[in-house]
Amino acid sequence: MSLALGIFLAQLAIASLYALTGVGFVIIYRGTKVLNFAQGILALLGGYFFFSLSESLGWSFWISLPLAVVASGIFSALLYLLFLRSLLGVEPLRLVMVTIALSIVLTGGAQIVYGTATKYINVPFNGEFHLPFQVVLPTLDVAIMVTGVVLLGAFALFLTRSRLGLSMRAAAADARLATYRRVSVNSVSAFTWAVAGAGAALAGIAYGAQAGLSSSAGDVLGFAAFPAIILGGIDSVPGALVGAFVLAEVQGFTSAYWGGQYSSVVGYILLLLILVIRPSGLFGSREVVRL
Amino acid sequence: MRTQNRVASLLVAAVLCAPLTLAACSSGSSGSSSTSGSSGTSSSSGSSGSSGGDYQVGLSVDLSGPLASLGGPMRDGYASYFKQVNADGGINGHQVHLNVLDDQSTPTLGVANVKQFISQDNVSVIGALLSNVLVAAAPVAVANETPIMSNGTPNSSVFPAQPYVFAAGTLVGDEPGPMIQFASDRGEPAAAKVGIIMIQSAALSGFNSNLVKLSQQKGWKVVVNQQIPLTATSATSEALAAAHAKPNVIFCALLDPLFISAVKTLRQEGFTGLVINYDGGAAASTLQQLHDPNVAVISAYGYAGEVGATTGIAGYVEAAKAYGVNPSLPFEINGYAQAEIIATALKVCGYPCAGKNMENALEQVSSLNTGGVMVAPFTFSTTAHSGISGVQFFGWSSADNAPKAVSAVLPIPHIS
Repeated sequence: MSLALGIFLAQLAIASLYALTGVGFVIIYRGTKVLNFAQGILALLGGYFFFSLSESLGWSFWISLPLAVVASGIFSALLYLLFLRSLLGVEPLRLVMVTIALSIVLTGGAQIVYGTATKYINVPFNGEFHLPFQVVLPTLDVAIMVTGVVLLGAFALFLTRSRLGLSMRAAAADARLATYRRVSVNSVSAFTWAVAGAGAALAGIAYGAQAGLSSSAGDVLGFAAFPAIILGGIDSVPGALVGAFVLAEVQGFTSAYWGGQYSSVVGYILLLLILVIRPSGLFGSREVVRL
Repeated sequence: MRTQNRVASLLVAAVLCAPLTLAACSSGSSGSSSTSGSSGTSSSSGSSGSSGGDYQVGLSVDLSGPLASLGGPMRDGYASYFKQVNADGGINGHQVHLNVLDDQSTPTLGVANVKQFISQDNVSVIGALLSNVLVAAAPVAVANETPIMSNGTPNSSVFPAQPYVFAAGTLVGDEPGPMIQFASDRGEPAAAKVGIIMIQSAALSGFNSNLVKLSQQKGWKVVVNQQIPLTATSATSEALAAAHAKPNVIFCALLDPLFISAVKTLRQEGFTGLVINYDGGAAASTLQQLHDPNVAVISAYGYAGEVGATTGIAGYVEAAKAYGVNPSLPFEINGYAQAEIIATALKVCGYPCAGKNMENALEQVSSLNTGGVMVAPFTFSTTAHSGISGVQFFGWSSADNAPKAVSAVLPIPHIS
């Protein structure tokens, strides 16, 4: 397998990781107009929940996975109900500050509960996946790619085709007007956070299986995924996937051919260029620009 | 209505806490989890408090920042050692009180911590974890004539020896020497091709330049030299590029998660040669995850549960267990060893001990035999404020399911 093909394929798994984490930013932004800087720690907590069930309690992967995802969804919804519901309607900056505070508190809480040592997650994807032309991929990478594409496709359909998805958009666009239309803004917003938390859990589990979970992993994941969704458009699910793909591939090829020290710089130069040409990102709606 | 809301909020809070509570319970049953015996920012380590009759020791480490996975265990290593010392009657009849502050890996907080140790705690000596904190805080310590001793130390801080500044850990810029010797001893060819994959860090710039310089002196050719941002999610691309350059041996300076990512990719790409990592990514759990006979890490310290563990290691494990912490965590043994160095100096110094007297006492720590906690005797002197004299390479023994030394103790000469 050539180096270029190897990098291209390997970065697809990284792109899926970015997309799985980043789509939570998008869903919460679309559903509540909150830029959630706690998304990274939600992913980490999802991974930790899985660790508790799978590694500590010894439950099977196929039981632990859905339970961890559901637990993360419920946890995220409760975060909204407890800390953000009462702030409905306040200016966005204050909400952003709340999510930053949540991120700090949850990171500290995770450190106290789980300790600071790296936790390794074992998943039943240890083999290799053989494709034509002598292309070999780790099964874990393939699983992450498939999960990313399927989940983001499902999210995109859900947000645009389902009644609940439309209610989420209505609640975010104008909460008061949505209430007049008998949309329960709090319920819809809590559900939005639940969906974002569930998606983030998958990212956290995938990251934990690849590199292990430590208290700093939340920041690593969150800050890695954020430029991808800005690139793709902060209110676009397909944009999150495309942004993640473009960013991961650019970073991967830059690292391999120029050196890893240039990967972040080149990634952000690309981000700046695209934002100058199209301020709402590749797939973002123009409404975001006015905001 | 208000009462109902309050009750609802309490219920929500209770449910919110449930997953974490479950996690706490289950985490406690995990062998790889850590439960700290001393949380927060200050630890009494078994003494009755900071009474006037105690030795005061300061420790500035990362407890909540990006390197908390190293800082927490290091604190526990210090605390478990001093708890044992205090239980045995203290030093010169005085208990040791450990004052711990969190610097979150930031120099600003590190400087503030050092100021607090000096002005409020009247410490005899200050321990630190990171080189960036040491560089920023050392002038404050020096101005106040208080010895500071760090695990991470740039070569420039101790060569030549600076008053009051001591290196307790390996100087990372000197690690290329034994790494190349080990690779050579393992049979790398005279014209070996070398790959380098390392995190991008000012503290590691000397590591990179010395590795390149020594490789060239040996007649080896560096065919790939990859640097990765500290915040990277994986080292896949860099490892792919390294594998395609077809080196004979790959030297790494990667933290544990990135090292795992790099080795897995290298093996997937068919690279079967020797991969050697620096001591910042030398956790036992990393060796266990990789269980690769051609992976080795450099360390100045032994491992809990290592094959053929010495009496010193057994004592370390016992102290950690008595303190209620997991002895296998990275950097815990570093903290334990540093505490032993400090205790040795305090014994010589007498009571009270501070300032120039403590510096003189540290300079008298000579050929300290830790029974295998440090793999080689530890020595400070008036002209040498860097005390690690030897390192060893460790791998994973699948047969024993434990870390195992894979080299003799090698000297670690200073590279100027």
